[in-house]
Amino acid sequence: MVEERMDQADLLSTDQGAKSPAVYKRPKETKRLVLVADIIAGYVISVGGVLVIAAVMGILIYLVSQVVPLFRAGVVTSQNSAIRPAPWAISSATMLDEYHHLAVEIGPAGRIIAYHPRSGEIVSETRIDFNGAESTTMAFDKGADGWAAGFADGSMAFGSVKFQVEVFPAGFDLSGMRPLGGDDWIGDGAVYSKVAGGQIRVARVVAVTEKIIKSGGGKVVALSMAVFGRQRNRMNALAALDSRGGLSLHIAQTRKNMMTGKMKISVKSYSLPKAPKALDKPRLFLTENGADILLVAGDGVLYRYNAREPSQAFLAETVSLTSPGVRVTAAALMSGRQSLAVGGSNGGVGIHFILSNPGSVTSDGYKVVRARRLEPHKGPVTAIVPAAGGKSFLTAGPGELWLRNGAGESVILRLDAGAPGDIRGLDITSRLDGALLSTNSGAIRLWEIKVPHPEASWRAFFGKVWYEGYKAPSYTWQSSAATDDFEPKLSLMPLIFGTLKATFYSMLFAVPVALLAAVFTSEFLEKNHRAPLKTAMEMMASLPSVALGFVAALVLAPVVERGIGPVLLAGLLIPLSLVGGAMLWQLLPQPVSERLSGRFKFMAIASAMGIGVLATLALGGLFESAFFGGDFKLWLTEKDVSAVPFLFMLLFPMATAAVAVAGARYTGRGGRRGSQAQGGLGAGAMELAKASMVAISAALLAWIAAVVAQGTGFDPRDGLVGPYVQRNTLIVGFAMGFAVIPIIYTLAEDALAAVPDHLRGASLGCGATVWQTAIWVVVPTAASGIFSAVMIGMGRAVGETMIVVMAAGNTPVMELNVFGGLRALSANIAVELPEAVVGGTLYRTLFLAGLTLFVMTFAINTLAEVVRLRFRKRFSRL
Amino acid sequence: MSANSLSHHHEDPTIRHERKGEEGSLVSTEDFSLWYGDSQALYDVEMALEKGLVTALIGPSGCGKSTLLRSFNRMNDLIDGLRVEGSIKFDGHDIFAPDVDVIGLRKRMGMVFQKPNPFPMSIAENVGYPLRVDGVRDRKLIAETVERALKSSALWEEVKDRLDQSALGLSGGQQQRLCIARAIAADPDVLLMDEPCSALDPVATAKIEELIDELAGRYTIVIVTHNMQQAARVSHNTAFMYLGRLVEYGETGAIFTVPRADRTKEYVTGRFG
Ligand SMILES: Nc1ncnc2c1ncn2[C@@H]1O[C@H](COP(=O)(O)OP(=O)(O)O)[C@@H](O)[C@H]1O
Ligand SMILES: [Mg+2]
Repeated sequence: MVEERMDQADLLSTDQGAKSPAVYKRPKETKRLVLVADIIAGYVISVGGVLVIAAVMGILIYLVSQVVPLFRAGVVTSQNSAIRPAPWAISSATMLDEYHHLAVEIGPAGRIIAYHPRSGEIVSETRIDFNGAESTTMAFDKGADGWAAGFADGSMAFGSVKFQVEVFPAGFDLSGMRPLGGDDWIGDGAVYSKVAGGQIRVARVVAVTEKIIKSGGGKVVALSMAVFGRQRNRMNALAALDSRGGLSLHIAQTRKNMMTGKMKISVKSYSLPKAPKALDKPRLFLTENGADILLVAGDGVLYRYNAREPSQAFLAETVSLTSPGVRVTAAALMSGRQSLAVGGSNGGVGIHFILSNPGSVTSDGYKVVRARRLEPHKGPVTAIVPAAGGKSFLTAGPGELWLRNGAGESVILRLDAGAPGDIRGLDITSRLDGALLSTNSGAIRLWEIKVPHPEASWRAFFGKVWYEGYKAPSYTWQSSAATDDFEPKLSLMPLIFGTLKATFYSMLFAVPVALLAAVFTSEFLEKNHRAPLKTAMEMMASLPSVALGFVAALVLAPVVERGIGPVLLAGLLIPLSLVGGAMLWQLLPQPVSERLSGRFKFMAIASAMGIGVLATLALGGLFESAFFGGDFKLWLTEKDVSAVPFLFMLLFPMATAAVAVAGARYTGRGGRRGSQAQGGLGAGAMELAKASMVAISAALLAWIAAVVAQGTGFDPRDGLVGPYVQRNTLIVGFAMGFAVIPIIYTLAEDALAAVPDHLRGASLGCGATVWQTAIWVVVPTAASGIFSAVMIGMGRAVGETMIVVMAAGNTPVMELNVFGGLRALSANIAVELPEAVVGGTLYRTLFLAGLTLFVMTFAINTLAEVVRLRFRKRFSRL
Repeated sequence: MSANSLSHHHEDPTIRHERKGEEGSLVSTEDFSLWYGDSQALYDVEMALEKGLVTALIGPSGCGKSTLLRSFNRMNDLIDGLRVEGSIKFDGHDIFAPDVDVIGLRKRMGMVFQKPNPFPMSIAENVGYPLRVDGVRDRKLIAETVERALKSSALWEEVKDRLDQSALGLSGGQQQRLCIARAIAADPDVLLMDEPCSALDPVATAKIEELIDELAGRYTIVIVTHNMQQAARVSHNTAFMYLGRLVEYGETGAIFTVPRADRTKEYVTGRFG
């Protein structure tokens, strides 16, 4: 066509050329300025391009650099050894002060030795006041600075032991103190250290005896103590085992008298069922809130006494913690007292949880379960020392000292503990920056270490982890909680799942709408109506997503919640009324329908929709009461109401498709089907009859399938749907679908419009209808372009933040439930970043979430781009 | 030439010669005029296409040949603002009557376009497309129809081993023959060809011409061409159009040897256009 017009133009111009005397002479040289401008433009553009690429790479590199430290193993920054004769063979407790200026060990009979860990110099030697008695066993609650001691006559005592720290301003007079080298001095039973700003930090150890508890039992052989509550209302709980097998629980309540300011301690003692006699090397543990008393014998058998009701405590469970023949050589409660780490003579280390497990063999519905099995030492485990706060702990094996974290199951840091002698004392600071080891031959070792992210590991981020208090390994995101003993749960899987779920449902809504609209615009709409419609759709893209999220959360969500029944019905009735309307339209005689096409047709479509909406409103209540026992939301949770109607609604579209396909195959549809010109009343009526046949048989089929499905025990309420929350996936799908429709529509429409008209002509010339041409020629030709449009829309949905923040409820759960909430990676970053400490584990984990998001969108966009390039190549041949 | 003589020329009624053809006309236009929006593209065209013969439409670019051709199967319908007056009868029925089945009309009038326009599908799918449109599912029937159509369009030998390869891999001439095969597979009564050889090299052109020769008799063929030799070689009757009017129409030999209108004479002897 263009060529022909050119011909014409040529004819004209030769005619005119003959008449016109003015002749243009073209210079044969290009102006310098033009050349220079060309070079400069090329240069500027390529520099700009390089800068853009560099910026993107820079961001990526920054993200990676923020994430990498998460996966770095711990490091030892310095190591220090000293030798001092050992005061005793094994310490009851060892404590390293958080600045590593002072270490304390408590030995037999309450002897306390405080020393400077770097040099081994003795700072003070004191004794806990037992009223002259000698203790037979001691127990500590390090996190709460508590100690307890048992005596040969069966009595017990408890009190506190802690570091007392004072800070003096710079210029403090250190004369007369003994320098220890570096910035430390010893004087009058304390260590003086110069700290930042020239200030002097003074640390000493202070031990106090609070109460002696008289008891008529035999010699105390094992003891466990726990401090619950704080300051004003402190509760010291002691569990004791005496040499006759007598097991007792003592709860000492400390109350401050408001008037006198005096502390008053009242003790309640309970005696428990007798423990088996002659237990070898018994260890006692009091779990959180004194719920259980665990008695672990050297042979690996654990006796669990349920002490939730102390006066009626009973032996609830007896279980072996180790394999036969393996002895328990070390055991300790993790901080929080909810799990027990056990080390065996075979080097094995396991962590045991006490889980509520109704229906289990135990008599109280709880059960001790080995939740984690950690990398074993090469010989017997000689010590297990948990860090106060957090879930990290040290385990010692032959010549090995390993720092581990429960969640990661891997060793975070391996220290070479090859010092002479057996372990006398061992401790790790709560910040995991210092570890102290002393041996019975007098070696003292101090490691300055750096383990910034003990909870981080591939497994913690992407694998299933069995967390304390959980019934089974799970993917869980819970980054913070009120208590110090909280174990952060940093699985990104629920967030990735949330992102995919939101994306899936929004695409489920957006793709059909956007693609149908695109096909309609490019194939059915008159040319001069296209541009305005397209512009209008593109305007939709300029709606800020925060506004969409706002409307979805505050307007749509409550409305849908109130009217979920009618909303569901609308999903069924509105398409039906549209299809029905189209069928009726076909009944119109062709001349009439042709004359009415344009505006009137639009009005007809609109009124069909209106009828659908009205019907929905009118029938909504009836629908809910007839099929869902009156209340859909209640139906979601109450499984005794039949699921057949819901299954029917799910299956109906599939059944319709199946029936339509089968019908077409077996009745062998005539070639004239769907032709516009056939319009006549008879043909239209035929179509209508056919369609209603299809609808009726599809409904029947769907109902039967639904009954069968329910009969086989399938209930959608187990997965697909579930309890209703106001801000749910449906809302997000709708709002986010709305946000991505414009982009998918625009790109898909471009792809369709790019299909050359000569292909449409070829198809129409073969006698195809516009619809046949659209689905058999135009859409397949544009398929890769449409695919890439969908992918780009999907990339948008994956990265979309504000809508999911506002409308998704932000619950990081992993469930398919359409009516449940979700938390997307992007929303998670937005919500938690303000609370994350810069450089902390959570902070870096959020960067990892960002990187994961980047990888996802990058993969999707790359796929889109690759397909788009193929599309372009293919088009060059058309 | 003066504006006066031009307009005078145009009001001349069509000069008619004897036409070949014994079986009568299959398609005929009566007083047919056509407007694209406000601009008139065809003026009172009266022309009958003889059954089973090849009619060539010649004339300078823009004179309305394609417009007329596309009116026969109402392919123009898709153009916004199109208006027609007069009538076109196909097999005695007015194709613009309100109850006409346009799709059916197009099924009876195959069309071959100036630029080869195979679908981005396999060769077999391309040729079988009309059957797919008709909802035919019988694979054997489809395969046989495809083979026959490809044989008719003299393409079978060249493509029989790669029927399931993309049609876009064929050469231009082969693609055009494929399009002819596709039109034939639709089992039409009339074949409308709009400059089918204009994008082809001489060898391919010769093949298509041969093909038209063979197809004549089975189909009523209308071919638009700019190539006078081609028109002279392949057609039985020739219509010369100028500025939307049918100037002279009759047996090809007469149009080329004894044209009566000056315009026709100038055009067929190559003095303009
Ligand atoms: N789709 C269209 N819209 C408007 N004008 C058209 C259209 N197609 C063709 N025309 C005009 O109609 C006239 C006849 O065109 P056409 O039939 O293509 O000529 P030919 O095929 O003889 O070269 C030309 O003036 C052309 O510009
Ligand atoms: Mg043309």
